[in-house]
Amino acid sequence: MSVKFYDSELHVMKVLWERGDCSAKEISNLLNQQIGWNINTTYTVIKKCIAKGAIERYGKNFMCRALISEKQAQAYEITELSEKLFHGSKMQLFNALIDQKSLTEQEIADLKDLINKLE
Amino acid sequence: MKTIFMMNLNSILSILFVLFIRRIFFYKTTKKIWLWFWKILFLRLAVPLFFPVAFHIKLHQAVPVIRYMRAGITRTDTPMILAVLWGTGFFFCLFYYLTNYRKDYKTLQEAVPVENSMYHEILQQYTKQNLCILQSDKIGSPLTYCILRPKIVLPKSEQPLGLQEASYIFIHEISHIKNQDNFWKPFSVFMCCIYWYNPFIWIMHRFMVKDMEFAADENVIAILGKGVRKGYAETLLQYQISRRSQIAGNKFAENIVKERILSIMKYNKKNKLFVPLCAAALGIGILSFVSPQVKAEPAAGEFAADVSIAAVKDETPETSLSTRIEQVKEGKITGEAAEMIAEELHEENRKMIAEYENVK
Repeated sequence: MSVKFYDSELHVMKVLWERGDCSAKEISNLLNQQIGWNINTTYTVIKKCIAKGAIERYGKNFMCRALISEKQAQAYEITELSEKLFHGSKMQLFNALIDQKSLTEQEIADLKDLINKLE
Repeated sequence: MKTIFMMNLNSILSILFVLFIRRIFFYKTTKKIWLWFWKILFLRLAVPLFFPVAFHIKLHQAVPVIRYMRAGITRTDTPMILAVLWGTGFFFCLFYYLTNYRKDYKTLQEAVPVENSMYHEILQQYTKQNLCILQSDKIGSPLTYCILRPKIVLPKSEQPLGLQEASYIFIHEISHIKNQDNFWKPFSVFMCCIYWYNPFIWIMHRFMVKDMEFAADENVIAILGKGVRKGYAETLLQYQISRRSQIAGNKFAENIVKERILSIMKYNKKNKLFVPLCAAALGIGILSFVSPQVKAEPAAGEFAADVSIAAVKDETPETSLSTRIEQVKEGKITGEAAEMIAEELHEENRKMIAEYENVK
């Protein structure tokens, strides 16, 4: 199951994606430092994520585990973007990325490698 | 009961009067005038609620009629059924607004700080306060909230705002903060809950909210000059179109964009000349709707009020306090004796009020 994340939820998810499982307290302390959210706000967002099925709560001290990985979230967003603006074609989306002319030489070389691996 | 009625009648008349003057002078003066008068009217409505009952003057001068009203509201001249009805309405309104406000507040709490040096530079140009700039993907137009540490929340956008647009938005929101709009809005909503049965209070609230926006817009034009009117109007329209959600707070683009654009376009720096004229007209108008409490007792204010309270008790005519008070009024009793009667009267009232406190 893939879900659409609001900005606030992404902040919480990113903490879990970067650090693995954390307790809700750790997450709120961290986010308090990073973006100034108060403890209640973080808990509210965590609960919303749980309701969405993106986080699972376990253990005695409100441990949190991400049920949706970063890759899954990325895949969902890309699919949605390609459907919205690129007529469902990932190829067109890819074209747009390349067209940006913002790829460095190194990145182009890496891309070629990736494509080779696919074959 | 009668005083509550008179107070409401008074406020209705005052509101109508202000609206009338406003209609005539609207484009001719600074919009802040209307804000002042709405605020004054709201404060007048709040006065009877916050003055403590034990407010009490020794000499038999005008007993602050506030005290009478406070006692009067809970004495037998206010039927129980009305008090219950009022209470129901009040708590219903209060509950409704508090729930909404809480929901919106929680949404705004999830906003994330924006790191943008240009924004902070612009802010510093126009205010010395240290304001937080946040962004949220759940709002449709910029707004400000919070009284103690005001924050400006911007809707999420793919590109950061341009210099012009950011100036418009920040000056507008800073104007709201400087006018303490973040306080007056919830305060006036609270007053509306208390006077929920009086539609004119709601009307006044609606006008005050509109006038807050007009005043903030006017401030932007005053600071940046008439040349920005077109650009500002376009920015307003842009946020009008891309609404994401309705949320409490002082919105940049409330529902009255058309009126606001009109007001901006008709802005005139010479407006300041009319200010004293308007203020005088309004001042005279409002003051002439003198304290209803005094008017309500045509037999000259102070003693009449106290007499009514004293008369609740059954007493024989010869020795009754009210008779003696009559005599003082007529001048038959003077000096020390009169002072003693006044003391007695106050003592009676103190007892009544103590009773009321106990009953509560």
